[in-house]
Amino acid sequence: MLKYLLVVLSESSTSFCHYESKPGKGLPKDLIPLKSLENAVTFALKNNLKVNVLYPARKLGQAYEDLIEGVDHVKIVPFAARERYPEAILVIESSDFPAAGELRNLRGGNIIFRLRRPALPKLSACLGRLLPHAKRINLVLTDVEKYGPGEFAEYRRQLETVSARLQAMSARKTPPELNVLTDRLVLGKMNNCDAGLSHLTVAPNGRLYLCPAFYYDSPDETLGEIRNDVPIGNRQLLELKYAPICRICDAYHCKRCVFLNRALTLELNTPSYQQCRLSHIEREASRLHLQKLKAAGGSSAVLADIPEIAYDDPFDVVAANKQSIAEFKKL
Amino acid sequence: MSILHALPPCLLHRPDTRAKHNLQRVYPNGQGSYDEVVKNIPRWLEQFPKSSTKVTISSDDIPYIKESVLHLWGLGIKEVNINVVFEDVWKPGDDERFEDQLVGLADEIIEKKLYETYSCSFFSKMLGYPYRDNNNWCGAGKMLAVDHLGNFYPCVRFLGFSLQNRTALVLGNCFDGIDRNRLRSFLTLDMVSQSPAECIDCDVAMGCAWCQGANYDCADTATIFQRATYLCKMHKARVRANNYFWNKLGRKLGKDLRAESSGDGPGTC
Ligand code: SF4
Ligand code: SF4
Repeated sequence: MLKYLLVVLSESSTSFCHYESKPGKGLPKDLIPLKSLENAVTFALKNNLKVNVLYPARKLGQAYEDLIEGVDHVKIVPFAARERYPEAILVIESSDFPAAGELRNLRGGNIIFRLRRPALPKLSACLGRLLPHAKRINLVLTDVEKYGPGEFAEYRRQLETVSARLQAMSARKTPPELNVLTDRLVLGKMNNCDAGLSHLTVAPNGRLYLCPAFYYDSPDETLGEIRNDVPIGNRQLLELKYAPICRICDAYHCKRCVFLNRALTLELNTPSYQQCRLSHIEREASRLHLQKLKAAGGSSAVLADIPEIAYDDPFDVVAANKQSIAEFKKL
Repeated sequence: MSILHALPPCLLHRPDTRAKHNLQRVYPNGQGSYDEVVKNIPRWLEQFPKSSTKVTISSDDIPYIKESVLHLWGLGIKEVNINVVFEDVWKPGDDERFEDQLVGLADEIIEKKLYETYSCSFFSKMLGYPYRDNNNWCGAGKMLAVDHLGNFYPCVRFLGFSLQNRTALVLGNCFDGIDRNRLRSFLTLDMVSQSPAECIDCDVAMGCAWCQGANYDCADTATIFQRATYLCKMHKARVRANNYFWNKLGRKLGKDLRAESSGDGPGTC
């Protein structure tokens, strides 16, 4: 069931995920037409949808701001626009990492930190600077397709260091959350992105897409105009049940990004080895993190242990042994 | 290697079907190949006595099925592997005509005791039960087709010239190797993830085949996870004829050949 709508206000709106948006030209035609935004807001109001609005760095006209204020929404803004929207979720890029002074005034809200592959060795240092200013950080790795054994090992090392930092902060009244280390601790079932199932995207051309990444990748592959009963060909392939690898997996925090799936494996329901390996490095780091939290005592004692597993990519399990028909029917 | 591989089922010693063969299987100069092919069969069988052939049936071929199989056996080829095409070609009534052909063939096999010497894959004891396992039908992903540029494909059906609606699906090339990400879907593909509910729950599903390349070409979106089921009625007709064959043969031999677990008698005719 649809729960929210993503609205990309401009071609140069900040990316919040595994894709790149387009550099801003500052032209009015970069913006979504006001009429399309109005349609999106009306659609959201009629269908009880929350709206996640992706902002560009540039200023919007008052008419845009007024429309957005008319619906329950969350603003996702680039770091450069933080002062205009102090309550928004901030997107910080590793390639444009803020100076210490710029971080000082952050109000302890939600941050999306997009880490480019060359900055991987600096991950723990960057998070070390962000965590004290955040309630929650969502780490997004970009250029995932370029990750190989060297990056996997480095990521494991970096998360170990980050885990130690988080443990040091765990005595705080509300210790910060980091999606890749703390989400799995509290999840008992899959909590994926679910593009096309729980959310759709309205792009700057006013048309619908599975998510912003699909728009930037191939704008012609649209789901059409904003309307009820949006037709999605082979929609079942977005569902966990029809993803043979993911449905046996317990890396519950994994985004299971269908955009990366299609880009790397050609199939919406089949993850790349990079996505699975990275999520399993996170799963293992979360498991060890939890063990240490429990050893230190405190509220984590009530959390269920994360079982140790013998694989780092569920593909190996499925390729060796297909799920039975009876098990599939139980899903 | 069978020189008759993928010959149409019109290799008959009848002027009309001979002409039909010669329309489809021609030399570059347009001359038909029927006589040349038939002339070489004894030598081929002498060198490769256990050879079999593979036949594919489309709508227009239905009237020739019985005679085709008998003719191929008559040429000395003891094993005929045969299937209907997977594409959207079937017309209303094709299933009944197909069933009639197979029942006619069954009668002939039983009456002339051809089951003692020959086999035709249309008749199999394993056919027509609900699915028991969740495997994929074909071997795409576990074999490779290579084109003249060195590109790798899951099979020939994924090359550009075999596809009507989609672009070629390339798995890699001889310079850079196989793209292991693109192989993942093929190696984890199973029956349930690509089949509609009615196939998963079908009472006579076993033996109902699919072709990954045809699925990819016929799907609503570019995926190998949507099974084309145009042959549904043809499979059900085949199951009825198959039941007829094993029940009738069982009566003649005084054995229950149709029982799934019987293990008696030949597995295929
Ligand atoms: S499919 Fe989901 S996880 Fe992937 S890029 Fe789109 S929004 Fe992000
Ligand atoms: S780790 Fe791999 S198998 Fe598990 S949910 Fe993520 S993408 Fe799917």
